[in-house]
Amino acid sequence: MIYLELFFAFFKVGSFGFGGGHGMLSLIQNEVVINYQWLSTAEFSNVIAISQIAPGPLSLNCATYIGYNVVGNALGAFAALMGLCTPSIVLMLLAAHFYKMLKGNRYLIHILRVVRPIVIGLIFAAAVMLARDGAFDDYIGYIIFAISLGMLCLKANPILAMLVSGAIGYFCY
Amino acid sequence: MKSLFDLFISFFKIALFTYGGGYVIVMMIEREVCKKRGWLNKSQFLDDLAISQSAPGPISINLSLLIGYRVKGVMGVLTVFVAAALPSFVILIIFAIFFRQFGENTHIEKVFQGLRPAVVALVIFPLLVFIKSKGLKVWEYITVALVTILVTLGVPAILLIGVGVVWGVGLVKFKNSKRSR
Repeated sequence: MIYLELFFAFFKVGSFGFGGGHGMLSLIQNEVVINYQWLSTAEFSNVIAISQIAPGPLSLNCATYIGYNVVGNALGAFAALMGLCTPSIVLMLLAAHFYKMLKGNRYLIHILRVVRPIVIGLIFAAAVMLARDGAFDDYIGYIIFAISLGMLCLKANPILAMLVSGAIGYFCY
Repeated sequence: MKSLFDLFISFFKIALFTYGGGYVIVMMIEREVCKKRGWLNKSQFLDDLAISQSAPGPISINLSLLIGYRVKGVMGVLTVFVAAALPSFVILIIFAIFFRQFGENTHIEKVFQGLRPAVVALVIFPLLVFIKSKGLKVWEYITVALVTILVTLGVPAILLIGVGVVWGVGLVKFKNSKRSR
């Protein structure tokens, strides 16, 4: 049952994906590229690019887009999106209820202290896996990488950096 | 009933018009719910933000849900969820339909080829900013390197996060037992 698989794959992402959108990329990659093999790494890179260009939270955009593409209809998108967000809804209802216990909770503080560098490592790993599969096939890839990183360092809007990179790709490949 | 409608409009607007992902959305939410609507004061907002960042899941969604609860209870949570998720849902389906139709198009494939290195830069950049501004301790650098290597070798990310959670709980237990001795 593909809808249940989509729901469950993204439910896992929503339940364990600390650190927001970028922190969840590695988990999404793990489910959709490695576990279920719904997408290739190059296709996953396309999904991230499209999700960045669209408004809204990155992870929701990724889930919707992947869900739609796996089944080819909106119900797939719905299953993936609900899978991703159901843990948030449950956890935040619990958090609102136990609000006072959470503030300054020692377990929470220690867990987060340990999880933080793990999440940073996960994001680096996602970048490494995206880089080694089709991003740097030739020297143009390195030039685009340098230009876009340079633009971001100069505080350019990420969408502008993507427009420039897409244009270079269009004219150079 | 009026404030459920107001909640919906506020979060729908933010989700529809905010580009740039989580942290930009957080800033827009603060402007809307603290300054414009006055539903929360600044310290309530910061408390909610801290909890949203401590939990797994999309941070801006977690934050929106908590605020929805403050304003209108469980109905507020559901209203805010629909409002915040609907634009992503509709827009990305439109994109998906579009790219399914033109997916084999060589022009679009060239653009995507150009975007691939840019995506790597976009994923890495916030990390570089974070590390440069906050700095990491030695054990944190070691953990980052270890996790990066393990995951690229195929170890599931969820497993490593699970280890982190257990480790964090263990730290508290360890400190408790030292204190009680």
